[in-house]
Amino acid sequence: MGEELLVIGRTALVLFVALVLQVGLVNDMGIVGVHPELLLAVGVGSGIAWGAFRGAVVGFCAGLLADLFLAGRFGVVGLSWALAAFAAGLISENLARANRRVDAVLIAGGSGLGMLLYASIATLFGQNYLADDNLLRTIGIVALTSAILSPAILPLCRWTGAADEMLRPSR
Amino acid sequence: MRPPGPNRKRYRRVLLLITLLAVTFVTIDATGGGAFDPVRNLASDVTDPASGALGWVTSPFRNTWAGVTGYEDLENENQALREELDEIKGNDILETNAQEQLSRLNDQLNIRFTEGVETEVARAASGPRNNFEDNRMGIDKGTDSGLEVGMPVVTKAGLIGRLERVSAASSVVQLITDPEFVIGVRVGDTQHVGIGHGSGWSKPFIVERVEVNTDIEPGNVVLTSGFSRSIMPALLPVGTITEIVTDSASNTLILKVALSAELERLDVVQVMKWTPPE
Repeated sequence: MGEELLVIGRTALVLFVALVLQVGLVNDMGIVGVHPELLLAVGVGSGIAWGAFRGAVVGFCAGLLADLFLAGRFGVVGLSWALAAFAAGLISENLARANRRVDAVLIAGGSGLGMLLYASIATLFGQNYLADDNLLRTIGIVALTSAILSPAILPLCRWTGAADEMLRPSR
Repeated sequence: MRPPGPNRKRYRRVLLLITLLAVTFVTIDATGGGAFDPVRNLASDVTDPASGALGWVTSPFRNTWAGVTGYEDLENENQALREELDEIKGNDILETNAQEQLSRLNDQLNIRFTEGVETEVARAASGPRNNFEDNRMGIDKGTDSGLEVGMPVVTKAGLIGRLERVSAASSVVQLITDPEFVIGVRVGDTQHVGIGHGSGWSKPFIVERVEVNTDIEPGNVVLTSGFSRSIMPALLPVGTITEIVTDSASNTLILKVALSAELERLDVVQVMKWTPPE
């Protein structure tokens, strides 16, 4: 029980720090108008470090936090990012060997998928993000920035959990 | 390689639970009662101090970043301004007419559109921004300054939106470019009215259901109608008509309107402390 509380507390702390950084700093640091999505990267990173189950849960929480600050139906980002983090976690679980490069590719893929799912699900609920002229550019830049930030984000995601659950601790 | 049996069950369960939760949230939110507004406002209140302090500390860094990454934008903006200047020179007469018309309307209808209504000056704030176009902006004033949901937000040039969410020290403005921003409008000093809505960033404001009429022509000014139960007060400038299309199916006019306010360069705005009548 104590261990679980520790994991929840650490995860909440990482998500809160990511949220504050996102709102207070990263939102203003766009590349051609597209900024990194720290919360999405944390969700996907949790999936890579701890597997699909935790990826889905942390991705969902990260998405709901983002939902609090965005226009549109509450829950759309949560669902999208949960699915993306779950997928990244599932792939990570099935990888026999991995290294930092593979992690970077996974986090990039998961983040890109998260944005694509977000655009798709939001479109289902009336916000036509799939028709956004910059859709591909947005997905590409978010994926790229997540990959660049992965050396900082993945250790934080690993720090949140109990060591005996880690998928591939020795790296 | 598939996960072993127990994991698959666990995965199915968590995915099902998350999907159900998300769909429930979306459904509750879609009812339009603002069920999540208190939570959203609380989240803003909790993060505002920390993100504000972080924003202040990192402002030199962010400004440098903006200078480096925005160089191309600046060049484009310069180019656009040059083209705009050429266009103004070339269309001197047309422009003068539009300005004169607006000025005349101001005199005739005594439009000092914020006159008589208390206003609050606010600045565009760093804050939540979607990577996709969501036609929202943050401002640095909220309930502490007496702001409420629904209040019109204007610049000197005209209407730019309305307050959609208001927390203690910040608010979110739904911009006039949002397709869900729908208001009643009238054309200049005529009695012709229609329903106007945004159509996206850098796209014209669209006015529909205007009776076919020969009085209306490009260059006419469009203002808020201010009918009873309207979400906007009357006579706020929206823009000028650039194109008129006849919708043969409904035998009405569709007007394309260039917004009078420049949304690309918003810095300081005014919130009119006006709320729609109950």
